[in-house]
Amino acid sequence: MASKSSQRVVRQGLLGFSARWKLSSAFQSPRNNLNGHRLNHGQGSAVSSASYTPEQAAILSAALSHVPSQGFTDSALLSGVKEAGYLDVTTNLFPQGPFDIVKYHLVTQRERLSNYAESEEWKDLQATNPRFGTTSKIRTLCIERLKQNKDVIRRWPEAVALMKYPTNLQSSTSELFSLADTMWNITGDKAVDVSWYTKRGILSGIYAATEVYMAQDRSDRFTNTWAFLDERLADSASVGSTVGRVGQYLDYARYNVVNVLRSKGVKI
Amino acid sequence: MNLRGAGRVLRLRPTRASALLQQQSRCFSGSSVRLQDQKAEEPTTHFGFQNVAESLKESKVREVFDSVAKNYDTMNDVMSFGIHRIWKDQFVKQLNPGKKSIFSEPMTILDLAGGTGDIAFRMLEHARTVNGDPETRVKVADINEEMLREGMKRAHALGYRTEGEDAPISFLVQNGETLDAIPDNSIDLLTIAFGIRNFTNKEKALSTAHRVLKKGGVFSCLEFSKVDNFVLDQIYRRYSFSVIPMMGQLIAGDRDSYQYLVESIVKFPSQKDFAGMIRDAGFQLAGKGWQDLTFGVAAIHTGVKL
Repeated sequence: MASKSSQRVVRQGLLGFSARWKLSSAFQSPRNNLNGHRLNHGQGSAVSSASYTPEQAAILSAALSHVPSQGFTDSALLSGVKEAGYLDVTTNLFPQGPFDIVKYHLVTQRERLSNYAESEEWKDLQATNPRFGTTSKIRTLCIERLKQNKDVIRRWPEAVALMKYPTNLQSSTSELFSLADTMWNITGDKAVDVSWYTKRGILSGIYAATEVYMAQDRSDRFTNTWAFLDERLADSASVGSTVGRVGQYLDYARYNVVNVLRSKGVKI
Repeated sequence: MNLRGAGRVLRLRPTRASALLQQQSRCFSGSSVRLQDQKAEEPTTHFGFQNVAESLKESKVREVFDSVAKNYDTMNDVMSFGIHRIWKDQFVKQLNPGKKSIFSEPMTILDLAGGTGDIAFRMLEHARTVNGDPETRVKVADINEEMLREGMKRAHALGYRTEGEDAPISFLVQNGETLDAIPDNSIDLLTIAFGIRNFTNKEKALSTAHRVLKKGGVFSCLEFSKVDNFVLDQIYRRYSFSVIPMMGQLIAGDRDSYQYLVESIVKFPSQKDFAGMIRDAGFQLAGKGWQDLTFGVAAIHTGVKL
């Protein structure tokens, strides 16, 4: 199940979503910001901390603390609202209901990952490991992020179901891409060619697949999950270079066509 | 302050109202003309709704609603093909009124401009059948006594008590912009369905709503809005500007009320602007602040006082 999902997501990343991604970033479409958070475009963009007001954050984090016992449900949201000192009716602040709890978890953990990149721990890792290459960095970041799912991992299938609702799909997909983008930014990736898309697409696929695997992993300290992650990362190395070669070929073909047309007197 | 909208304006305006309009129009013979009383003896007696003095708008709308109260629901059904019922059901279902656990207090709901009780009865029904809460109470406030009388009649027909401190539903005549009889921080949920459009001062109404709501209380408003699809918008405009007034004339013998209805819909701010007004009144918006119904013909705006 996990690998199937992985393939699907990778394919989506390579074909459909990356094109939309580019379009919206080019025009700075306001739709991008409807979800209350900003997507990270390109190098070094800061994560918005204004995704939630303090009151919303208080309610949602309280709700999240009830997820292990009550799941990603309306009743967890209600418990959060009551715990934060509000009324039954205040749940109307979150029109997407339990999905708002899921999104809060995704957004805050992504922001946390950006902060982690500033931390001493991360700098130490880089300083002490001379062979701390891109793949190791990505692996470390994936593990760091996945560990944050530990508390709610037994409820994670519910979250996945909510994320796949047609009305929530756009929101969860763009959140997944933001996560991949954040990770690549942290590793210091500066590429602006076609690999910009493939890197983010493939990483999104790997991350999503591993997350699903983790939800069913009963091994001690999720060792099987980290092994699964390593395998997927190894697979992607070959996928990535294939995609890169296809991209190069397409570039080459494009120049050829343009040059042939120019030689025929077409003004391009 | 005035009330009612959608449907409320979808109704007959009998001769009493016409007489009043005619009277007022004499004072305003210089203002723009849209409504012309066919029976008027002086050809120069016209006025446009948009240019009426604020102090007169309130009483004028009050008179109009006085005369239409009894036919209110029938005309709503005819004009909206019954869709207004779906909107109202959806509105109430989403708000999910009623206490949800034994540890919660019953809700106090204020339905503003809620004259005939359309929303109020749905709220009570939902609280009782879905949330099993027979204690939640609804106050219906309206500036118009005739509309309230109609609502009270229906409440009695449905078997609700309307008198006494603990009555499930009570009716009170109130100006929605001030709500003098409603104490601060006393309401859990304040709703307005098809009413805010007719208020003279919407900002004031919103800040009053903020005043009477408890911390955590919800303001929610169902109102006509802007269709976001260009093609559908053209069709909708054609329908509203030619078909609705014509139907008004044929069925109710009154074109002017329907003309007012469609014009007031066009004049009402867009979803985004109105969401901005709600935020400016001190509310936090729920999500992006609104939800479109039927491509934006109507929209539900929700804000929370935190």
